[in-house]
Amino acid sequence: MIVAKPKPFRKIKQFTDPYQNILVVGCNTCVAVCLTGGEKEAEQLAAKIRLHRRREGLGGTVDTVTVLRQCEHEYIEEIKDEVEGRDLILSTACSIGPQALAERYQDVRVVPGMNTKMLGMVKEHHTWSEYCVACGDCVLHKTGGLCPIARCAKELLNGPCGGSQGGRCEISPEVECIWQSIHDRLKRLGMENDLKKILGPRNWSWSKHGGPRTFHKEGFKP
Amino acid sequence: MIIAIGQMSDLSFVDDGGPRLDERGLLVFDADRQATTSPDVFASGEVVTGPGAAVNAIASGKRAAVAIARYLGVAAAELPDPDPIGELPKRLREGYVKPAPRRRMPARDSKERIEDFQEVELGFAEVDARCEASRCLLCGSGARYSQLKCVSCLTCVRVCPYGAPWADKDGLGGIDPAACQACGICYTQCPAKAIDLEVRSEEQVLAEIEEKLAGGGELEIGCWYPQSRVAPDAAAVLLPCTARVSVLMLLRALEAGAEKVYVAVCSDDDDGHFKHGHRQTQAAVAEARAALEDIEMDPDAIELVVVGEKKCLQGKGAPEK
Amino acid sequence: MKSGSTLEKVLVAGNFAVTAELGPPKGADAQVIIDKARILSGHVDAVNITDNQTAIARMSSMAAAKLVIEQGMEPIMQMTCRDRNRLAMQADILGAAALGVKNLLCLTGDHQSFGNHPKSKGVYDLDSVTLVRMVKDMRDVPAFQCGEEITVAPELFIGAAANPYADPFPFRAIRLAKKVEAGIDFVQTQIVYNTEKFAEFMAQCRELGITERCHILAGVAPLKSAGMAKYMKNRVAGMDVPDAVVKRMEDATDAAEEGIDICVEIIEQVRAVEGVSGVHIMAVEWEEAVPEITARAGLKPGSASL
Repeated sequence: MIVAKPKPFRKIKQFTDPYQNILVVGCNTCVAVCLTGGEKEAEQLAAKIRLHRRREGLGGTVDTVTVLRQCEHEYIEEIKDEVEGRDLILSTACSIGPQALAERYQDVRVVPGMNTKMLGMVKEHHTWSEYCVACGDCVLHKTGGLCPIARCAKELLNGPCGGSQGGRCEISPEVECIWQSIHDRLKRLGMENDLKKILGPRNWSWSKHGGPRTFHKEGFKP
Repeated sequence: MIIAIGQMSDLSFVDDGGPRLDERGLLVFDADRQATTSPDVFASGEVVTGPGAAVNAIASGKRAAVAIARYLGVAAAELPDPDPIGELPKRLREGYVKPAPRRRMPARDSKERIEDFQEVELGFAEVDARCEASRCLLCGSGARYSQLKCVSCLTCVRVCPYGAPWADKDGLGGIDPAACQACGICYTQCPAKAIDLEVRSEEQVLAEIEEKLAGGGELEIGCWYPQSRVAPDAAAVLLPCTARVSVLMLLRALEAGAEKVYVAVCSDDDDGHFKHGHRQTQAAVAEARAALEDIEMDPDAIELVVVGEKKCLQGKGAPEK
Repeated sequence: MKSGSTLEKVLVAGNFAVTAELGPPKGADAQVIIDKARILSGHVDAVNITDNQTAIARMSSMAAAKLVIEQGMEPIMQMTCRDRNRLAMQADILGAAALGVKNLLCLTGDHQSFGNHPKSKGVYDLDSVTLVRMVKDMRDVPAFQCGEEITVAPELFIGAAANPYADPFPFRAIRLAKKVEAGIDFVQTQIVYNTEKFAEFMAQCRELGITERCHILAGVAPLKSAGMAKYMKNRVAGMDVPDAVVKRMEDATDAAEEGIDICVEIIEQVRAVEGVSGVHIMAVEWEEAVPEITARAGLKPGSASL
């Protein structure tokens, strides 16, 4: 799931202060699940902006609407009446949302309410960890099912590096050393020999480094 | 309000030509058709059954309504067949729900009362009456869940202290009404507004907040259990548990003109009627205060106030015999 | 000879090699390099020129290496994967070789979050293992990583680092074996304070045949104060400073003197371990300690008896 975190409010007010007719658009998929940009959070943010504007004497209108997924044409089409007449859209979706809205509503300024953080997995409720960086060339079959590209600070393919200590990464004791976990798992599965194989160098052209990517479902011509 | 004071039915108005009465003075009655002996007179409740449980009288009234509708030719009139309430989940039977001890009704001394026919029970003092009333389990007043709005995020499943919500591998879920204690934690945390509360819904509470703040002033969003007010001079919106207080509610209260919002909360070491309710309240207030700091408002405009000793739960309010 | 470097000659001859460390300055001052080189000159076989050590921006290792060569000393140029992609690395490798650099130490590099530019983008196009393989192919095929031919091969003695003290311990020798497999000629280890564990690591290396295929130089470093000992023990990941060492530093009346004593003792101990071909003395910003350590340990540069 995409995990996004609200931008600090000092940014939000910078974005919204100059405008008068603002629509906060929530997204009820990934950012709802990660408790940061769904219907409730969008309403909450709108109330916060209204309070701030009243305090600053900025006037204007701040309303909210939430769609199931901002990354779908049909859903963002549905809010055209709400968008009508607005001078600013503030999206609380991942960064796909503001872009989709900007493409659809060409005459309205669109700003992001969130910083899109990662593709993550919930560790415990209210805590998410990065599991994937969408590198385009999955290596999990070689690494015990755990991703060193997303989960090792140095994206090592032949780790763990010399900073691995007690299962923790050198950059922070809060970060798991994924190579320790890969090591332990391959050992448990009787696959220690895989640890001796040299992996890489990687083909980064399949990642974002190869330029923006487009994917077509096999059999369906674009 | 049901007044259950042990009075008897008064059928003196029934004429000789009207429905017949039996030897006990009750209406002669065909239970299948809710019919009396007069074809156009129907009956229900204790005028036909004699004294019984109020809920049975209510059910009987509903059946009579259907019988009347059919008699009047409303073809589709039919009573829904309610699902029988299942057995309480084991975890609930075993200490999940905090027991609230029964108040002892003050009564006259037996030596004194053998002398006369005066009322034996003396009645509760107000606080005890309130404590006794607050033993209500709030069955069916809690979470109302919308599968349509649900984004299957599992938040409710994870945060409910009673294990009432569930979800299957397809993301389909629900909330077991037998397990729900109506604390509201799931409502407050649901990110998609797929959960509301049956009694004191968000809409009702927001409307009440605005109404109470029509002239500005201070507001307490508090606990409706006895002895729980924390700002007695402020206008009050009272909830079964302040775990139901959302950040939105607090911001809306300030938008509605509140000069100050007090939020009642149980202390860390003295949980109230609901498990972990205070943690949720603390989190929501902390988040709302942080929001105020963000907009350079004094965060003390929202203040968390710990509720004092909760005598109701501890049985300390009960009078000695 | 793969590179013809002094270090290679010393090790191939079976002499005990002594290397030290020379950190480039945080400025464009060539004199700093020259001064440090003069302190170390005659006491070591080669000096490591660090590459933005601990992710702190400094003069480039290639430029500093060239300055060291001009002082008549031999550099071991360090190269990390953190700051360059394979294009830049290969360009620098060819450039360094053209400037006379003959030893290259291949490292992944400390994470950028440790340094003075924590907001920078880490590259990590390759890791140390795949960097080693690339350098080997550049030298021996000779070809670029993409397979294209190289006209004049960079003749380099290829090194890497190994840390016996990081976790998981059973994997440390295996990881070094991967570097051997990828093509290293020598390795310098993390600073040794726990000599017992080091000996255990060396036994694993011998078992895996590593000592027959590459030269191992044990890393050592003089402690300057009890505070430094505690810092390394508690704050530096992958560092193992035994309590006894910390205690000695605490109890010492002259901590710097005690630090050098400990260093000399460790050199004597690691020298006795089968498969150890030399020592690498890391006296960071304390270069003056190196001549004293080598003198007291009775170490002469291996090149002196070639």
